[in-house]
Amino acid sequence: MVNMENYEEYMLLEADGELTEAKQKALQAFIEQHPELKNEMDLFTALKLEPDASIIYEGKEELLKSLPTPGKRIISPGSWWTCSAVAACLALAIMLFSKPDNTAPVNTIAHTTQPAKIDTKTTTGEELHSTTKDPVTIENNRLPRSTTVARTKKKVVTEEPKTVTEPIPVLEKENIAKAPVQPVTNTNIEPIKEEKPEEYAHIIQPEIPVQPHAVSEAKAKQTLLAFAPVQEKFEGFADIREAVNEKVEKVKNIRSKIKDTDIQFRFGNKELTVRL
Amino acid sequence: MELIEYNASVKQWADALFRFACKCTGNPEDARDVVQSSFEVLWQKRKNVTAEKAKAFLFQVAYRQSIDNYRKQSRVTYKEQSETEETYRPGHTDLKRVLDRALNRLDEQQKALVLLKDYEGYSYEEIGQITGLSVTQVKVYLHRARKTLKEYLVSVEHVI
Repeated sequence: MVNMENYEEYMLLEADGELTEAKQKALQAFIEQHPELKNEMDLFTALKLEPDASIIYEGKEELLKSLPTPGKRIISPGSWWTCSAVAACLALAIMLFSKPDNTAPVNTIAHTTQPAKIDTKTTTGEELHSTTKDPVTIENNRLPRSTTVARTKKKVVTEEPKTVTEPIPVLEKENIAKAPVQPVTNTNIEPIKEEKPEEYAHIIQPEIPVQPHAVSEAKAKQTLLAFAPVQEKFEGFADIREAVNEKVEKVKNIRSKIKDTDIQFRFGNKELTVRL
Repeated sequence: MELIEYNASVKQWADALFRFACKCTGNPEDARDVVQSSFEVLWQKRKNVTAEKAKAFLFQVAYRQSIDNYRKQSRVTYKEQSETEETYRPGHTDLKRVLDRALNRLDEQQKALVLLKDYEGYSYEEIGQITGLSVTQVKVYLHRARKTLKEYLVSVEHVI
C-alpha cells in the first residue's frame, strides 16, 4: 500500500523498473491522488542514464582469437634437444649392434678389402718347415676343427682330383725357397665317407669343368677363393676374388721381408687362413 | 564457450563494456586496459563460462578491476567546472551532460550500480551476482545513488 512514508521508495523502484504491474497501478493511483508528487516522479524518471553510443571500443580485432595454424606449431628448445638426443642415441645403437656378422658376401667386401690379418712370426727354420703339411686350412665355425681340413680336402679330391694333386697356383708362382710347400696328395687325406654331404655343401666350391681350352680359366679359379666357403653364384663373388688377389699380390711384394706369413680372410662368420 | 562464441562476445559486448569501464574509471586508457583484461580472463575461463553468461562474466571482471583500479591509483580527477555554464531544462540536451557530472559525484560502487542498472538493464538480482552484493544491498545503494543524483539535479535546477 502506497502512502506518504513509502511513496519515494515506490518511485525509486518504478524508476529502476522493479515494480510489479499491481504496484505500478497502485503508485499511479497514489500520484493521481497527490498531483504535487508528479514532478518528483518525473525527476526520478529523468535520472535514468542513457548509454553514449558514440563511445566505442576501437581495436576489437586485437581481442579476437583465431585457431592455431597447424604449420606454426612451436616446439620448445628443450623438447627439440631431447628429440635430437634420442635420435642420436638410436642411430649410435643401430650402428653398434648392426655390425655385420652373418651378412651377405657383398657386405663382406669391405672387410676383405681391409688389410688382411698377417701374422708375422719370427720362427726358426725348423718351425718354418714344420708348418707346410697343409698349405691351405679352411676353418669353418660350424664344423669341428679336427674334421675341417680333411673333409674339405676329401670333397675337393672327389670332385676334382686333378686340381687337388697340383699345388695351388698362387703357391706355384711364388717359388718359396725357404718354405717349400709340399703338395697335397690323396695319401695325406684320410678318406671320409660321405655321411652328410649336404651339410657341407655350402663350403664346397661348385664344380669347375676341366677342359683343355679352359685350363687357364680353371687355374685362375683355383686361387685361394676356390677354397673359400662361398659359391661363385653369390652376388659380389667377382669383387671378392679381386680383393683376394690384390691381397695376395701385396703379400708377394712384402714376402721377401718376412719369413713366415699367414693370411686370414674372413667371409661372414668363416675364416680362410693361408699359410705360405 | 567455444572460439566462435567468444569472438561473438567480443563483437557484441566490447563497446558496452568499454562504456561501462570509461564511466567507472573516468579514464579511457584505463578503460581499455579493463576491457582487454576482462576478455583475456574470459578467454582463459571459456571452458567454464557459457555463452549466455559471458556478458555477466565480463561485467563482473570489469567491475572488480575498475574498483581495484580506483582504489589503488585514485585517479579520479573530477574537474569542477563552472556550474553556471551547465543548465538543466527539461527536455534539453544538456540534461545528459549534467547527469554525467552528477554521476561523478557518486562513489565507484554506486556509479557501477547505476551504470549496470541504466546502461545494461540488469535486475537487482543480476547486479548482486555481478558485484557480489546482496539484493538488499543493491537496492539500498542504488536508491542512495538516485537520491544523490536527484539532489544534484535539483540543485542545478535552482541555479537557473
